[in-house]
Amino acid sequence: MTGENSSLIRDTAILLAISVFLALAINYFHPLGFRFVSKKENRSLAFISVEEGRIKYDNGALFIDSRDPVIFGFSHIPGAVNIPTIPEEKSLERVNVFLRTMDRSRELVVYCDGEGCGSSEVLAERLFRAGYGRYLYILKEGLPGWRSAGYPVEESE
Amino acid sequence: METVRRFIQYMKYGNPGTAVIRIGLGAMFIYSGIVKELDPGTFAGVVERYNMVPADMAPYIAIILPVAEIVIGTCLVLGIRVRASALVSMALMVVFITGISVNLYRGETFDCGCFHLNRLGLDLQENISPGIVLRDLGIFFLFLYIFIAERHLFSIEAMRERLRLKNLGGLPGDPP
Repeated sequence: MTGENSSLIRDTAILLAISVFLALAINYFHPLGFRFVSKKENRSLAFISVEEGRIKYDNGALFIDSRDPVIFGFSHIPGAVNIPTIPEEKSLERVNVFLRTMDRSRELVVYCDGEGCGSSEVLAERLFRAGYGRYLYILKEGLPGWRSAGYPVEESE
Repeated sequence: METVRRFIQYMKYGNPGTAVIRIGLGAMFIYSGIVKELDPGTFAGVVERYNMVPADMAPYIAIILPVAEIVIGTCLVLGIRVRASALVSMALMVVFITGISVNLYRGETFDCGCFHLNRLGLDLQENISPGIVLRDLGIFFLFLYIFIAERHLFSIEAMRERLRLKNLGGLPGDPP
């Protein structure tokens, strides 16, 4: 009985080892396979121009406005979601809720008020830390750049 | 009473029925492994939807699980290392049943991503439901049956055993 059990354990281990080895090999050559990216590289944020942002916008990317809700109310990119970075606690909570409910296949573009505003980077960093690792971009020139390029902006009086 | 006992013995010992179940389940695993392997990205999305492991882990599962299904399925169909394959299969079924049950309890409804039947052109919805849990439970018990069965007809294991006995000098008659 013991011999039978130990051969069962050995066979199971062999099967699992073969599966893992084959899986990694197939994944390497698979045209739709995953590529291993170091966490360090993964965390680097991608800055994009307003023109690139427009292409993503037309392809259905989700824009995230990291500014104050009041300012967001005055003007924002149509379809954008507002996740303010302050107060921090509330912001983290909204990030978590957002990541739970969002469609993971959509690309994310974060923006704020131009190059020096910084809150888009803070928010992008929070999204990363909350577990989001793909398709995250920051609109470098922010809303002012977007507006001056003549792209759509939703404004209220 | 004696008939019942002998029937149970017969079922337990392994017969054409166990062979059909074994090959059928193996083919099922090969099929479901291949459809998942065709598009690992989509399958990673399915794993994420179950919300049972951290999202970062989903790609690893999407890489390994389909291939494991294909390997186990092949072993079952050919009849190599049948007991170990059945054991791993049972473990997989427990994982599937747990994942679906927990999400049913959470009140979720989404496509279970089990067989991707729409790829076959079948317009069948496979949303998670108690029915799917029951189906998987049934499959679990079939694997348990394969695990318990002592011999497997039409398998490489049986062929090797026959060859070994033959080399020992003459095949003894079938055991009583």
